[in-house]
Amino acid sequence: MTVNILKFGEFPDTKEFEGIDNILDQLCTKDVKMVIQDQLPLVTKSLKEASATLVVAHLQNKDQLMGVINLMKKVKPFAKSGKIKTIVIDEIGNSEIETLLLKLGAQEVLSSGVALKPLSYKLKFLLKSLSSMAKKEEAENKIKKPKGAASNQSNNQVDTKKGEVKIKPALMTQDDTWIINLPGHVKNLLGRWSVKFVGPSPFVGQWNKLQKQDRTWRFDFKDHIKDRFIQGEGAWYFKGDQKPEFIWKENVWLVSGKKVQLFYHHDEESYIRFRTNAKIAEVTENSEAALSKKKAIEESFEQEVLVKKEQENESSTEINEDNVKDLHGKSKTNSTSNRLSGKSDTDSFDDELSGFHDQEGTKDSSSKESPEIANTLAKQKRDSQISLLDQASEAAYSSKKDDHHEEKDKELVHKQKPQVSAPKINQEKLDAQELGLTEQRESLTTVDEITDEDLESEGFGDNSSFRDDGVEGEEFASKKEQKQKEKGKNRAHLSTITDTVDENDPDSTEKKIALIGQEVQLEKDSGIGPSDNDQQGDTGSFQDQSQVSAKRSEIEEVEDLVNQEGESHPSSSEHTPSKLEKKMKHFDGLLPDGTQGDEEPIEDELEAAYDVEEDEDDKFEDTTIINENATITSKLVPLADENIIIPCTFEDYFDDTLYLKCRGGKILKGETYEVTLVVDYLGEYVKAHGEVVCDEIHDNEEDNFVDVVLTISSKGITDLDDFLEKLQMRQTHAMNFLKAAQGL
Amino acid sequence: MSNKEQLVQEYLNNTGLLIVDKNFSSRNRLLKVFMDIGIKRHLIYVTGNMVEAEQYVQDKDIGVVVSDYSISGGSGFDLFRIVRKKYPEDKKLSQILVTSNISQTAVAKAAEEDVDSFVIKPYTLKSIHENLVNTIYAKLKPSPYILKVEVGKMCLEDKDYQGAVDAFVDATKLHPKPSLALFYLGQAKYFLEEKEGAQEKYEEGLGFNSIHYKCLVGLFEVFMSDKRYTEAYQIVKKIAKYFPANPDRLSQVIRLAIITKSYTDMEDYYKIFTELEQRDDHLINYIGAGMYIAGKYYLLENQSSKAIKVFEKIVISCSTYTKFLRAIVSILVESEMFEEAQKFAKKFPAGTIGQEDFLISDYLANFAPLEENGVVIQKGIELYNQNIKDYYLLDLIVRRMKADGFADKAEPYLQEMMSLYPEKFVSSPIDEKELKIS
Repeated sequence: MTVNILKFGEFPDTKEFEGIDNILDQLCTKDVKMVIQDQLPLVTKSLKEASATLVVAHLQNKDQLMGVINLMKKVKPFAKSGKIKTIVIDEIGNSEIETLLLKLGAQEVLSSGVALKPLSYKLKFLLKSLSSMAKKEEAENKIKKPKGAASNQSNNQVDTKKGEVKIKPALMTQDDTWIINLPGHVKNLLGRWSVKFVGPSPFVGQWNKLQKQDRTWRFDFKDHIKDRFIQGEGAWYFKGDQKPEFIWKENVWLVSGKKVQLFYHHDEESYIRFRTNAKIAEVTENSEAALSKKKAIEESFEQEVLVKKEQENESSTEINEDNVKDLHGKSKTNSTSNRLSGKSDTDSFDDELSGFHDQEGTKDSSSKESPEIANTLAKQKRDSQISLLDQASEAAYSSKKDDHHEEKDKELVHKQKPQVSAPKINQEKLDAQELGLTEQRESLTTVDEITDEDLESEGFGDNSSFRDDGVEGEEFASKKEQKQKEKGKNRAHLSTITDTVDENDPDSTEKKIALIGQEVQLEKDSGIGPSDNDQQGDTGSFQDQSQVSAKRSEIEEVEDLVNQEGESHPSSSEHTPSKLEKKMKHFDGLLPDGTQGDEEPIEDELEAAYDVEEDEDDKFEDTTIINENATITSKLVPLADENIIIPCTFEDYFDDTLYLKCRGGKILKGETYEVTLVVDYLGEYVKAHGEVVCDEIHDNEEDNFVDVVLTISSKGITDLDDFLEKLQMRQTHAMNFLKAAQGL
Repeated sequence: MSNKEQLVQEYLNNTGLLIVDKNFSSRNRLLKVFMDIGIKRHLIYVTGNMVEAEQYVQDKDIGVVVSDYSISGGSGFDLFRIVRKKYPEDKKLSQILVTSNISQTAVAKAAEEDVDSFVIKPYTLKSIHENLVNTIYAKLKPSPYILKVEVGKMCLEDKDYQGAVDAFVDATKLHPKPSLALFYLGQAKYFLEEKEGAQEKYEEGLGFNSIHYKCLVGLFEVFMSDKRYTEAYQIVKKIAKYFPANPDRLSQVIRLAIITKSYTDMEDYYKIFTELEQRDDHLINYIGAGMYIAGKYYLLENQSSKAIKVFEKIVISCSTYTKFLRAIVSILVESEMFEEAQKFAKKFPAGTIGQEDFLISDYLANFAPLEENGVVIQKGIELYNQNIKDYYLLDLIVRRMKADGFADKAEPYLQEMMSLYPEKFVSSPIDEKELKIS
């Protein structure tokens, strides 16, 4: 890759030009070379040879004007590709000449007295842009023309109308656990990316939103299972508009949006599995590490977990073997209802859950109500080999090996009538685990039946209202039976969960995931599953436990309100701005969709994000706080008379309609115009143009201007997306500046 | 609907919302955005002009103002000031600018004016929805850091400066870059007459965030009160660079640039000046004077081409003030650059021919270099007798009289020169006195 700086014209030995020369010399590196050329035919040759060229021309007097104009004409065909950018240092100082040069494609026309600092900045900026362009082209060429037997994936570059998929080398971390099949898994439709990735299913982990980090979710594994996928201490994070959704039919995670990103982070290291901006998706190849986990990932799909809620009647405070056998013999929940009863460590927070338990009749033996136990069975296809399933079962049902818990549970049986979630496992396994299940089921408290609607209808504004909330077990059970019948074969194991959410709710899948994740957390809370109390700090706090056992993803906003940004949140580690979260803040500045740095990432920034060794603080400052002016200029030219140019002020655009402000008298209703919109920002002009028809003209009360409403013709406006994108970048920078200046 | 949205909706359904946009369609679109959030129509007041907007502010209970930058009869910032004046204590009041003005001046002004959000048109419904909800929510549920800062501010208002210090110190622990808390901490120290402490805190705040507006202003005021002009100039220079929208400040910068002899910076301020959307006469006067002094400096430094360029800029931007043209012509004549002086003398606007500035310039540039001493003296005395007092005019009369051997006749003119322009007889080529030109 070679980027040339082409000096055209005589650069006199004055102080001013000495300064300019020094700047140009400083810009020369291994990849950037200086070419001094006055011969126009040789200029073309030079332009063709270089990957990209920054032309710096000097216009000293009118005699040289033709030479510079001819140069611009030579440059123009190349400039369209974006590979050439031209700056003219103009000593004539005639505005018409300046306009002409700009029309011919000059990026900037500067006076020779231009301050060196801004000039240096401009040159660096343009050169950076050209270098990026050259690098990108080089990379594309490599992909398009792979040497020898390139890998299949390397050939999988996807070119769509709106998006380009760039394939990066596989991640060098053993903790890569995602598989992306290109090209099918990465698509761009109308500027939005849809990325599917295969990885651990919701049975073994869930995406939990970071409390203090907008639009970022962490994939939290069930502890005992985590080792199967991740050896290190880090975690996988997803950043985007919406939480990844698991597509059960395909067993893939799906994310969509303009800017999405999946990355692994641990301590000082981060690895980006994929990320997108409006036009480019960068996806790393499937790593050996990820492929080696394929079996484990597939097993995670088949892990069938049944989450249940039981309402226990007074007499069924213990589960006996017969209950379980009954359970085995029938495949429908109606046959198994009232069979299971459970006991749980959850009585430790009975006080807090009193409302809930009271309604369920579970709190103590004096309670008159007897909640029934609702059970659901599902068929399992899995064989009996030791697999993830066993691990999951072990994790979930470790109480059978844990005397302490067993004893504790037995004590509790007499104290409470817990709600039980019976795990859905295959028949053979069920037989094998019958005894264990007794305790296992007892250990699982189901609060999963509480739906969003329940929460909302009960005015769920804080944790206490959650505690008071209850579910009618019988009602639930019958509803469940009915729905399970409907659901039938596909995902019987989900039926209980499905019952808990509104069928018509478009977010039901997410709710399912949340509920499943909740069950995983319940195991921890109950002390039977792996406990992360240590991490959470205040082990005895109900708030901790309810927080994790409730539908975290859906109620976290409410928790925020209750906890007042963590002030009254005693123990959640997520609520303390940890080193990681601070680090995440820095990521934001680097990410294409970062809240601090929403600007379109230029190539270098994308590269930089991979370079985790750099000082992220510096990058944050450099990339987000911009103090550069920006302007929009617009004009209308009637198609009927192209000699008339009507300068306008851009006001607004929506619904295929442009709103401009122009000097009155020149615009005619019903007439068709060629409109040109130019945004000038950070040394780049983005021009959109197309045909519009004048629909309305409104007189302005204050001045001689009129407000004009123009409908965009069916031909549309060329490069309007680029124009809007540039404004979006400006929007981000404006907000960043505002926040920084105000110190918020 | 998220809880955040729900909270915002609840708030907005209990307060008034004012939308101000000159463009009818844009107004309606904003109206739709808020109605989509679930706000009751009767609580949304929509107008395109300042007069009606002010009326709404006076008559209604307004909790959120969404305004364009430019509105009929004023600006969004004017409106925000009016609203803030009515609700000085309302911490939940949200003021949002929605504009197609994407200039940095507009952004900086928004920052300076404590506008809560800056939305650029065109926007998508999704983006503005998010922006509005987030902005209003942040006001409704401020972070613990902001809450603590507010506690400190209340102490400041109550003149409980030590209490304020304690609160702000606490606040600094709640934010990774607590510039705002450090600014108020500096303020509290300032009120406690611990100027050094105040300076330290402002500088600490700027260490976290180099463009924190309040810290910059605080530091500038500390330096100015101590007459540390060089330091003050460095700070105000930065303020002017990042927050150029304030004409008064630019005037201040120009004055300090002269005091600190930073003449070459003047062109930077000229650039800022040209990018300003509103330039009042006061500022035009200042920039003209500042640029003139910069040009004079270049002449003294033998950089005449630079001087000429600077003078040309004055002609372009300060054409309403012919005194600058007169001064330019005069200094060029003094520097014996007659050709250039003649060029500038031709640039007087048509309506100013016959006025004192033109007559003097024409005399100095066109008449004096070409004519004989006697004619020059005669013409000069004619002008003098029209009660036109000008140093260069008198200087020319005196010199030509002396050259023709009429030193005694020249003496009264010389005496008058010394009496009218004593500074010209002191060896200080450029100093603040030059600003008297303005």
